[in-house]
Amino acid sequence: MEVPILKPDLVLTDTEGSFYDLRAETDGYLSLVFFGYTNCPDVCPVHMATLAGVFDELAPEVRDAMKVIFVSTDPERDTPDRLRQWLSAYHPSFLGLRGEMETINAALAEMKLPGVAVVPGQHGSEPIIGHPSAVLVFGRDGLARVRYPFGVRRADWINDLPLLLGESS
Amino acid sequence: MKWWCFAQPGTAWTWQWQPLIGVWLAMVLLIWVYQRVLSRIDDSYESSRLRKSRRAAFALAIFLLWASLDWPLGPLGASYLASVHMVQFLAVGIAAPALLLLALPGAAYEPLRRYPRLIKALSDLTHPVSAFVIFNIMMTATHWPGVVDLLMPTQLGSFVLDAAWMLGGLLFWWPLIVPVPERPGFHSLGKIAYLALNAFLIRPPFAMMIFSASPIYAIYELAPPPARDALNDQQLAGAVMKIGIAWIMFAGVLVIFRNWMLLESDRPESA
Repeated sequence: MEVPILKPDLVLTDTEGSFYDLRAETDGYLSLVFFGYTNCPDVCPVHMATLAGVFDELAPEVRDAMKVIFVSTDPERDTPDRLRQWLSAYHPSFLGLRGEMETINAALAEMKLPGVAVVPGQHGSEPIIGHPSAVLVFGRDGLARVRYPFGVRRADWINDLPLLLGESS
Repeated sequence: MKWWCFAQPGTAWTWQWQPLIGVWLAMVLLIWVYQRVLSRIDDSYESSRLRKSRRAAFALAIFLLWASLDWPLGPLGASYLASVHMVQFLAVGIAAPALLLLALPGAAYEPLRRYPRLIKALSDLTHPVSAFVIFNIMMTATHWPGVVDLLMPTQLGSFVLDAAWMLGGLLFWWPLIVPVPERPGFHSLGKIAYLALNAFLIRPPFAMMIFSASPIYAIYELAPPPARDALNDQQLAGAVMKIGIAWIMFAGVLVIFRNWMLLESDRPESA
């Protein structure tokens, strides 16, 4: 990105029901922030499966310096239990956050990402939630310099994350 | 309307049935050609049991081709699961070609002798050494990650891959099954060695699928569920490829060995 993006001042609720201050809790970590929902049929499961595979391949010192944060764009259906269960199926260390849609949309706008759009389901099917497909990577300094679109492969993540960790130290 | 199954990256899998017109047309064409060839030859010299076996082989070939290329296995293998893609390969590229060649009596191949140039070309192409080399090059190329990722996202590309599998399989089995051109020097022991070598050969795609630390095919790595872990699915695909080929080759060895023993037992003993 031409202009780095500052980590938003965002306080949400984690899957244990506690407040989670994004800036404070991820300070000094490489933070991979992604907005999605557990009923997502395509982008979210692919991103989570890819990142889970990446996590297992990273050196322990890189893994320990990283946090993967999944912010729900469907807080009604993504209950804390549902969110925890879904994320744990990919990797137990992945964090799940929920909050009011206004707060989430404001944070998305702050990060120059498109807002959440709800498309009602047809013929009794579940609604589809439009959400950004990119993962934002915030360095240890709290600045995001890279936005990873859908389609980035496991090998690229494994190559890039240690470099990003080194750059932002 | 879809003609052939192809990879659609980023598209969620659905259990909603979808017609694949090209697959149906290909099946109809194969059945029509088979009936036409049979109607033009006299296969009454073969026992009724053998004739029934040949028709059963053809029916099984058509079933394998249709089941592996049509919905749901077709789209699942083309776009979502490398392991299903490998099952398709076993069906389209290994099992069905053998069954199709077995489905025709020897008399069906006799008209080929009228074309000396064709016989010369067949003689070169289906020589066991060239068939072995071409089959393995084709098999490696059609499973190479760059080739798969390039061809699978289009209907034509996906069809080309399936057609290459089928042609490679026909070429592979030809020297073992088809009596034209004659190969008196290709003894049963040689045939068994030909199959055994193919069963045990470690091909580059298999090694990549099993030993790579990351998924090698972008289309399966970036495919939405049903697969949860593309790497596990890829390793399963490698195992399916290796074990599947080994079992089919082993079945071939058994048939050749049985025929060889029957031939030896029928031969009059010398004084």
